[in-house]
Formats: sequence, structure tokens, C-alpha cells
Amino acid sequence: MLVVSRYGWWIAAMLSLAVFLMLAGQFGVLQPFEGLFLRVSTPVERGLEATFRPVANVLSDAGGFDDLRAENNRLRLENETLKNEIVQLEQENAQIEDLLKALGVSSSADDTYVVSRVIARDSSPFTDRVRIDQGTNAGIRTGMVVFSSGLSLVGTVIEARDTYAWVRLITDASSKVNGQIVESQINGSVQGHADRSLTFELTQGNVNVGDTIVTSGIGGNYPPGRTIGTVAAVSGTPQDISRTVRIEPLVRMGTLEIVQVLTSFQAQRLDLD
Amino acid sequence: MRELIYALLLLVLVSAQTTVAPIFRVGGAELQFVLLFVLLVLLLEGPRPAMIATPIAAVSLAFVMGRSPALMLISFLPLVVAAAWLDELRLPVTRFAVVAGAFAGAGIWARFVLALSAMVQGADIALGTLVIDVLLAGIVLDLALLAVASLVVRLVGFEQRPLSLGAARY
Repeated sequence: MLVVSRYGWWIAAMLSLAVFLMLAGQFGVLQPFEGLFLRVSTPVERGLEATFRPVANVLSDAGGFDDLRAENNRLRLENETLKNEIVQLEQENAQIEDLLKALGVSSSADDTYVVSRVIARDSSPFTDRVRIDQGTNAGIRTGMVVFSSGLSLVGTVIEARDTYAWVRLITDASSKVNGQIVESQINGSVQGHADRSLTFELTQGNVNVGDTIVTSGIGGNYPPGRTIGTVAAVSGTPQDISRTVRIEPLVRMGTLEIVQVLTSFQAQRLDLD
Repeated sequence: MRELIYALLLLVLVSAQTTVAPIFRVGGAELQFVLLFVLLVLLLEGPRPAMIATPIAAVSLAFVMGRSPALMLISFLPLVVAAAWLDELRLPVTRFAVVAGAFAGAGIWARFVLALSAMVQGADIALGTLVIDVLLAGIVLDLALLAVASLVVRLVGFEQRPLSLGAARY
């Protein structure tokens, strides 16, 4: 009790300071100080990030060399198949363009992206967010959707400032994205969890390991048809009321370096997820 | 000069929190470099400088992590008081055990506050994950980090200060 009485004034002072900081934060008084601090800390963060990236890559691959070899073989086969599909799709695309021209219909506007680099990460408990080095000066706004360099869904911009923005990753425990299984057209919700895993919540329907999950576009927060990941494991039977469908994202969120912010798409309802 | 060194150390550790700490994650917990900074100030400079360093470190970390400075400050509060309390209990244990107890306790509180904040903002309420993946894993990480830091402090030969404010002074 002696300690409490001796430190009581300090605890009271700190709690008062916390209240002051909370109020100051509400009115944006702290933003200039935050900007100034980040201007100083960002070069240090970049230096540390560059230094430790090889370590991060090694650790993310550690213990899985057999898996990597198997993955490499699978990807080689997949690459060959995809190359063939690209050729076929290009031919079909050309035919579609010709038909659209003949009908006088213009194709949908091209998407525009802002390429950005991940400079910092907030992985505190139940949280998975990254800070990127582009902000409102580059046209980034809150609610915009973020993709990997290979255009798989990564997350959403939750806060945009002049020169940087915070992105909530889909693996964040509070992230929910409306998704769809490509193979069966079943809709559901892709949810992040505290252990940074992803699950697909669906009421009923058939789902198999290897199925592809894309955004459904329902709710208007994400453009439809964007790849999220593939089904890695399914527990339960189609008759079960609740089934756990674990998704493996196509991107390794832990070693994300470059992202693309879709600036041509505006989310309809920011409060949905 | 000492202040400048501590300022630079804080800058590096705050930056490391968002770049290096996520790499060495165990379960849902990660290393807490900035909390370690406050502990180092407490060990090497005593409780008064640590009481000043606590809000500075908390607000700096909040800026870098895009979090609420008030929340960060509350998450950092118990370290100085816990160290003093454990020290004044005069337990028959080594100083390292006292420091480790205070650091682990403060770490549990800091992670709990941040997890609670995430739950309030919409994350799943997963108590099992919180206890096992975050809090228990966090203790392991904190003790490992403290062991490394203590070794460095000993090797460099810094003089260590008392952990609590002298009772006679107040």
C-alpha cells in the first residue's frame, strides 16, 4: 500500500494525461506531432526493414523445405497450365472486344492502382495492419481496397494521411470480407482470426479443398471477383449447421513488400466490416 | 548527452517494434522493445527518469503504430509501479527475478489492454487464444528478451539503480 500511496500522484498524473491525449486525439491536435515523429522514424524503419527482411524470409520458410519443394513442383505445373489458358483467354478477349465494338458497347473502365511499399507493421494482439508509404497526396482514401503485386486481395485502407496510410489486412481479427466460392458459387464471409488465420463462414453448401475463394462484391465494399485464397481444409459435412473452412491466402501476409491500392473503386458502405 | 543517447535508443526501438518485432512472433505475441526501453531506463537511471520515460515511450509507440496514445499510455503504466512493489516486498529472490516478474506482469497487462481494444473494435472474443497464444506466449518472449538485455547490460558493465523511490523522500 505504501507503494500505491507513493506512486499515487504519478498514476493520477498519467491517467489525466491519458484523458488529455484522448481528447487531443479526437480533435486532431496530435496529428502534426505524429507526422513530425514519423518523418524522423520512417528512415530508421526502412533501414531496419531492409536489414531484417532476409531474416523474415528465412523464418517464414523455415521448417518447410519439403513443402516448398512440393509447392515448387505444383507451381511449375500450374504455370504451364496457366500459360496455355492465357493464350486461350487472349484470343477470347479479342473476340469479345470485337463483338463489343460491333454492338457499340464500351467495356468497363480500367482500374487504376497506386503502387506502394510496406514500411511498418502493427502485429499487436488480435491485430494485423501495415503502414504503406503512400497517402492522400497520392489519391489514397479511407475505404479503398488494397491488393498484392499479383492482384490478390490484401486488405482495406482504414486511415489515410498525407504521406502514408494504414491498411487492415484480411487476416486481422476484425476483418470480414464477403466472399464466394468460384466452383460452387456459394456466398459466405471471409473472416480473420486472432491467430492471423482465415476462415470462410458459410451456412450450407458443398466446399472442397482447393476451391478458390473470391470477393462476392455483396455489400459494395470490395469489387467482385478478386481472388482471396484457396480452401486449405474443411471440417464437418455439408449437412452440418456450422462448418469450419480454413483458407490459405494467395499472398504471404507476413512478408508483404509491395501492395497496390485500387483508387478507381469507392467502397459503398464503410461500416459493413 | 545521456538524454540524447536515450532518445536515439528510443527511436531505434520504436522503429524496431514495427519492423523487427513482427518477425520474431510466437503465437499471437511479439517482442515488446519499447516496454524494454522503459525497463532499461528504470534499471540504469532509476524510477524518476523511468516515470518521465513512460509517457514519452508510450506516445512515441502510438505515433508509429497508428494507435491511440491514451491506450498506449495505459498499457505502459504498471511497469514502474510493479517493479517498485516487487522490490519493496523484499522477497528472498535475486534482483533479476524481481525485474523479470515486473516485466512479465507489465507485458501481460500491455497485451491484455491491446487485445481488449481490438475486441471492442470488432475482433472475435477468443479467450483461449488470448490466454495461450498471446499472454502465455508473451511471457516466454518477454523473459527471453529480458535475458538478452540483462546480458548486454552486465557485459557493458552499467551501474544499476534502485527500482523504487526512496520511502524517506516522500
